[in-house]
Amino acid sequence: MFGYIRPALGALTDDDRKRYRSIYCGLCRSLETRYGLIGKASLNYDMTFLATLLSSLYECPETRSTRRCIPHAVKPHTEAASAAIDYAADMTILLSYYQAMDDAQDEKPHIGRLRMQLLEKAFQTVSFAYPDTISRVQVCMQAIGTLEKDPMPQGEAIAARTGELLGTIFVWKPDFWAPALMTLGSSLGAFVYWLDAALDMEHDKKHGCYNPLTAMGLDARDARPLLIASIAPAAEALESLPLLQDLPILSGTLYQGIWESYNQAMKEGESPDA
Amino acid sequence: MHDPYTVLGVSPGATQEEIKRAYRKKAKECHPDMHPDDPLATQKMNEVNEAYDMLMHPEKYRGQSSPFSGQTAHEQGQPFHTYTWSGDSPFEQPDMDMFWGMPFFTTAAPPQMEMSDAPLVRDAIRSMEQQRYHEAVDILARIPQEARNARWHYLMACAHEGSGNIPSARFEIDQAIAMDPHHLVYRQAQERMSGASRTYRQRSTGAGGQIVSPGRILGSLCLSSLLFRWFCCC
Repeated sequence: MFGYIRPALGALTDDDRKRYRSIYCGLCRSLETRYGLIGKASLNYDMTFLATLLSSLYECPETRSTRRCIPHAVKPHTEAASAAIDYAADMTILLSYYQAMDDAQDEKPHIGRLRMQLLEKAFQTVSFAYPDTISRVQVCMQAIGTLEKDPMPQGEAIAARTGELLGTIFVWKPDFWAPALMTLGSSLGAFVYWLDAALDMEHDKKHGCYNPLTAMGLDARDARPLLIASIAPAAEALESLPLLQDLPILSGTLYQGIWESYNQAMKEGESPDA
Repeated sequence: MHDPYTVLGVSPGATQEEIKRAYRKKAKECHPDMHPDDPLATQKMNEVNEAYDMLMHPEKYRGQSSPFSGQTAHEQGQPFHTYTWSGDSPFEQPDMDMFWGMPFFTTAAPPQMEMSDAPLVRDAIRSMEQQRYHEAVDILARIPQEARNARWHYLMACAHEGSGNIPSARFEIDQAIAMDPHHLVYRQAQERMSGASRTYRQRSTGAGGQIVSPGRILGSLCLSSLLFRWFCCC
């Protein structure tokens, strides 16, 4: 379920694109220096969005450096470093570990267990630093597990819990902005759950897997109103926060980027004579 | 009691962006870290936050005769951070004082207590009155499955809404209405919790089906992401 929360880069200016890259590369650097190669391998767009959002909201002091790395050995690139980026790196570890645990329990037991082992040390460090976040995320994970075991799983309930999980991760500090960040994260989480269901529909049909949209009698194409209703509170929360820095990246993600894979899939699904 | 426009130093016709800029400026000026010797610094910061919140969410303050009570939740003897985290371990969220720690936030009015409410339900409502919504969710979750009636689902919806968890709030309010379809208060709460779609549809190009950058996302995707994709293709 990773990787959907990203801006539509084609709609950004060159400067904003460079800025996004600098946060993405900064997150990669933070993961590598603090958690090694396995940390770096967990890098994803979703947590890059979180890093951008928290950097903008808290306007944390940031340092920038220009470096080269193995995939970009020729062309040097800028990397941003800040407390918000480090927090997003920690949350990347947390999410990857739980994702691996989820895999280990059902679909891919061997790869899942291997990834869990590789991430174990990094995960211990993170759980030591954020005990409350971890315990709340664990409650969500357990609830999702129980809901999924139901012979007639309730998609809405699982979507809500998935939302809560991401919302918990979005709340960096228990301060004035916590509810708005919770709204942003939880709406995005619920959106991603339905989006994933819409994009997996064909695969699930073929393999006889449970799909929450199919269970509700909806086709992937009919999911658009549900997706809009899920994401709308996130956009409202974004508008209400005093965000000035990197706003085009943030709104470009919520209003455009998160739709790209769905729109693309719907376009490809259209028959040529339709 | 102060007028929110005066507190932020903007004119009543100010745009949202002007309000945001003014807030940023004031917040920097009033940051308690900048005034370590001023005992009123936190209160000033709260006033600035509340003024911002009032201008951004006027609907929350409608019907209140004095939006600025001059007294904060902190002064009323509540813990500094009413957004409660269960633990009091020394490993709190990092850099707590890097940003200004705010003692309260506001949201829709808490639900009313009823004579027939069980003690746990009363505790949950009391938590909501003190804006401790997470605590209310935890208390309500302790009520056994068989005792969860329409009112329980309604209260759970309010607790989730207060903590910002809108997907769960919507789920619970739908359950309440399924159990008791004619309750006006539940319907009103549902309406409040399910707004926003129309505004989003107007602002979003993606929701309408437009594709800007099909296929290629980052100019050159990092090797690590490819690795990640290999690990995880779900």
